[in-house]
Amino acid sequence: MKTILLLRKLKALATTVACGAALLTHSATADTTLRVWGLSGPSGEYFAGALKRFEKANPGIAGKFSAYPNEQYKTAIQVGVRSADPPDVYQNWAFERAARMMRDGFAVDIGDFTKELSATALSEYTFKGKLYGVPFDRHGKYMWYNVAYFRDHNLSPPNSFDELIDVCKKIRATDPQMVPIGLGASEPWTIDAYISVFNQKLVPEDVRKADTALSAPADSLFTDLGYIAALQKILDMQSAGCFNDGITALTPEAARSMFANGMCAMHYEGTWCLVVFDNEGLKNGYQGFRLPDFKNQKGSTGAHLIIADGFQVHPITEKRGTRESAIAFLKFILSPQEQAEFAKETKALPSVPAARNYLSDATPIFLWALKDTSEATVEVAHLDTTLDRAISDVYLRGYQDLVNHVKTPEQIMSEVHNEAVLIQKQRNAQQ
Amino acid sequence: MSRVYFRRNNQVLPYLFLTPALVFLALFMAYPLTETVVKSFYAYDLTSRVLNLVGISNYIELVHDPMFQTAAKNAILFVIFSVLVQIPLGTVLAAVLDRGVTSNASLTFRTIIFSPLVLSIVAVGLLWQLILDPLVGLASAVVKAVGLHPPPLGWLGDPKIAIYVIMAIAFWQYIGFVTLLMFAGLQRIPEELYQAATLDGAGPITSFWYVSLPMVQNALIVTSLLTMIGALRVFDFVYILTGGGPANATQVPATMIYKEAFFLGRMGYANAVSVLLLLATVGLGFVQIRFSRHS
Repeated sequence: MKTILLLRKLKALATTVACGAALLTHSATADTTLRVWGLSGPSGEYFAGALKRFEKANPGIAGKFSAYPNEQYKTAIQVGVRSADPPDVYQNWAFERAARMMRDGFAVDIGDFTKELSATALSEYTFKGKLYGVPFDRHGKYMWYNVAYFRDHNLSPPNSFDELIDVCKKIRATDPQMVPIGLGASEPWTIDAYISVFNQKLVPEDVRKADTALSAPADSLFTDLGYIAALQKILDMQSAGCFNDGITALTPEAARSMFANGMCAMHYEGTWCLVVFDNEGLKNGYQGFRLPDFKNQKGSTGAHLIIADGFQVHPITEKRGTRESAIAFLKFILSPQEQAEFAKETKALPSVPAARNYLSDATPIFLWALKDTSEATVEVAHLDTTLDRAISDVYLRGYQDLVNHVKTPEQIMSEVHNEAVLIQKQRNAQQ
Repeated sequence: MSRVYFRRNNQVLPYLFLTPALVFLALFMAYPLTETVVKSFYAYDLTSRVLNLVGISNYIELVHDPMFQTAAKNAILFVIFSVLVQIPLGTVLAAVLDRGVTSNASLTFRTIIFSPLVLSIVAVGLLWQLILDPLVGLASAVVKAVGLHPPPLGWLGDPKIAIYVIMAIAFWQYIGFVTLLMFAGLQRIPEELYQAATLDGAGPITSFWYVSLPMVQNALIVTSLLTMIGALRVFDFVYILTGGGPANATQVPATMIYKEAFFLGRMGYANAVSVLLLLATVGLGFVQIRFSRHS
């Protein structure tokens, strides 16, 4: 009898253990929590809200959003993807930064998003023919101009680079106190915006692509004279009086405020600044144009500088069983309704053009920029997002030396060439 | 309880009490320190899965790296000027507060001198950025008002002067710290010594030179070394005011470490700079301990 009772107890214990193990196994194979990492601030608030709406639309999936300030995030994400508890979905900038995550094995192919995004938008996260992320905002950079000032001084938006120089000269001649174009390059990416576009216009496309990919022969890397000409154009603008004094001492934010407060007639910046202009008193008082073309330029005309920001999916999703919900979340935030909500909350340009159908309250300039950016066929990316970091660093510090007349365009390009040769050598050695 | 029990426990107990601190030190000091030294012989990125052993290449590269040369030069300048400017100025201010003004006035001046010290460095940095703005800043306006020309490239935009401007701002904030330490030293000098000096016909300057200074010699040494170590490790002012620019002209070792590690992704190289910075600060710390014991 005692033996029977003991056997029964053992059976019950075995059943309990088996049930427990089954539960554990289930929870290990199908994690229902979707971990999303992104930036704090307005976009972070939007994504936290979007994740809640996604949970509601997908019962059984719990979202967990972790937000970090911009500078902190750049480090946190690099450490986070290698940690024991990485995010399933994480915000990351397009081009080289996204490509690096792919190369290091921290991003997976996410399949087909052709229904949601244009081919140009998808190209920002497409590497080796596969899609490793999706942009959720795509800002365009424009030369903004003060409409009232242009009208009062009989000025027109220029159609060529020479005309832009003429506009600067006219402003200086008629109004010495007015700065034609505000430029704050205490952070050198503001000059990188000009050079990225100038390179597209002045260097043949196949040369640029080979140099960027470091696939050109070592002795010809970044030696095309167009690169030097692009840097020289900044000096031409400077000698024509286009910019303010103390370029490298002025912050980008101060230059932006100069334009918003009527202290300069033009300012080249991304569409994220629209909200600043509006809040600082220039609402409906400005218009924009893309950086004009050069005569006999080598690149395609009408190129547009676009800064894209999006999400990538971590390979851990396969182990956790969250791959499908991660991709479903990306599809969810790229629906026109959600994209419109994102634009309303953050004042950023959404990457899905159809969002405009839900943005009837947006300002005319916002809708114009959204249309113009989404229709751009020739896209230019910032050099510091497409080049190897070490090469882009030589460029970035070169810009500051250029406008401070410490180095010539030839000296800067010689340094860029030398660094590119070094990096190419290192990469070849690794392969 | 036997005497043997107590003796045995007296041998064990101190180590037992020290254990939490030792574990803490091992976890948060010894381990990262060892990791930093070991990994300074590797080349790797934050996200790369492979560490490539490169031996002493990182250290050899450092010798020829113009950015490191600039960073090292700026660090040395920071150290020299910290001692040459902050220590004499802080000592004089402390002496004035100690004996040069009435106690009510001393309180007011102390508040004025020490107040920058309690401000956040970020707030101070942003405030000075506004003051030094090349177009609308107060500094340029004042210089113009007295008939001079402000630097055409801007106070923080001119690679030749930017590091000195940063130093001036850092000294403005930390002069209160030096004054505080020296003031504490001066207050410990017995009043009788000053009375004796007065009877011998010494004036305030003679008393300062022959009574105060010799009596605060130890405080001077400690304050100088603390100031030098602080100057060697400076990061925040440079990062906020110029980010190491223009064109790396204001880089210091700490900002260079940050840039190499998190912007250029060269963790091994950043570790090598960290090791050199560590050796320099440990060296100065060692000197401080030696002087303190000697005194």
